[in-house]
Amino acid sequence: MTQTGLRCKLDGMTDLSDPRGARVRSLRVWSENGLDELTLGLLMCVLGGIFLPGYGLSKATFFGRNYALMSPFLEAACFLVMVFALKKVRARLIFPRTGYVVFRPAVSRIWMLLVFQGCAAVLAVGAVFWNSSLPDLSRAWGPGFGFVFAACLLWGGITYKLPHFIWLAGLALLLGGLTFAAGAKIDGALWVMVGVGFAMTSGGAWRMKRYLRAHPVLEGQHG
Amino acid sequence: MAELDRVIHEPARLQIVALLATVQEADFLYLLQATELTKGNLSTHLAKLEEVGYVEIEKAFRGKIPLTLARLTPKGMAALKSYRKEMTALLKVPKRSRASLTRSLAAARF
Repeated sequence: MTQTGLRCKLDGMTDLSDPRGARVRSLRVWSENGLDELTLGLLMCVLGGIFLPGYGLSKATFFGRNYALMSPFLEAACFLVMVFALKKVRARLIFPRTGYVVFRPAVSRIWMLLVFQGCAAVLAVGAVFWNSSLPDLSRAWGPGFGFVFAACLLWGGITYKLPHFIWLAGLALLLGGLTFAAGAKIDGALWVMVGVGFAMTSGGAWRMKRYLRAHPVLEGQHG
Repeated sequence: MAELDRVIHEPARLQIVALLATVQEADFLYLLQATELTKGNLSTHLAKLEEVGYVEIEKAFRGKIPLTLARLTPKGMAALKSYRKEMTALLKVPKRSRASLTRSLAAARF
């Protein structure tokens, strides 16, 4: 079988009964450049890193009193800078190596959001009715966030066949356990976010560095 | 048995269409990388797909760099879905009908 025939079999023929297969394969190949991982990791670091100082600042100071008001603006500014930087990096480093491509938006996962909201609503209603009989759950934030992150990372790792996501899921659980052991309350969730985000950023940066070294800029244009 | 779409049945074109089905748009260079075809081959197959209306080609510029963008049209997407359906049905044929399946595939090959 020729190379073309083999690739065709991989891309099209084997996916005849599963049209999602071609998309998953394309996204898996695309994620080799590490940029999406780097972005997601940075976003988590920024989110956690911005809210975390709010728990350490003294309420007696002006900055400490008003930090909660300022943090959403800081967050929005960081987010906008990141979107701008991401576009630049993609245009300058990635597209010259892969060619220009825009993937279709992911299949709507509204049902996942609905299930998530449903669970949150049930928990909120339950907390209102049985508040007095509930034990102190303030230390459960860290393990809770760790569990949610681990579940999401496991799903991503299995769906897109990215084994390093399984390690990140393990790290999320470990960090959740550590924050519980350290007696952290709501800031435990932020520590988990920063920890997983840092690991993801490091992994993405390493992957991107390797990708840039292995893939020279493509020469010549176009047909 | 329904006739297979010969435009898509050709391996290189099936690869291009399957690839374009997963993206909104891609340029010539991306397709060249992903399919591992030669420039001439890819150009010819894209021209053929454009001719039958399965693919839309747009010549543009990004700064000073020329950009040849390719997109799968709704007609192309429908053709790919129909091809998948027909091939899946063909491959599910029971053993005793293998001979007729082989004959159908041989007839569709060119």
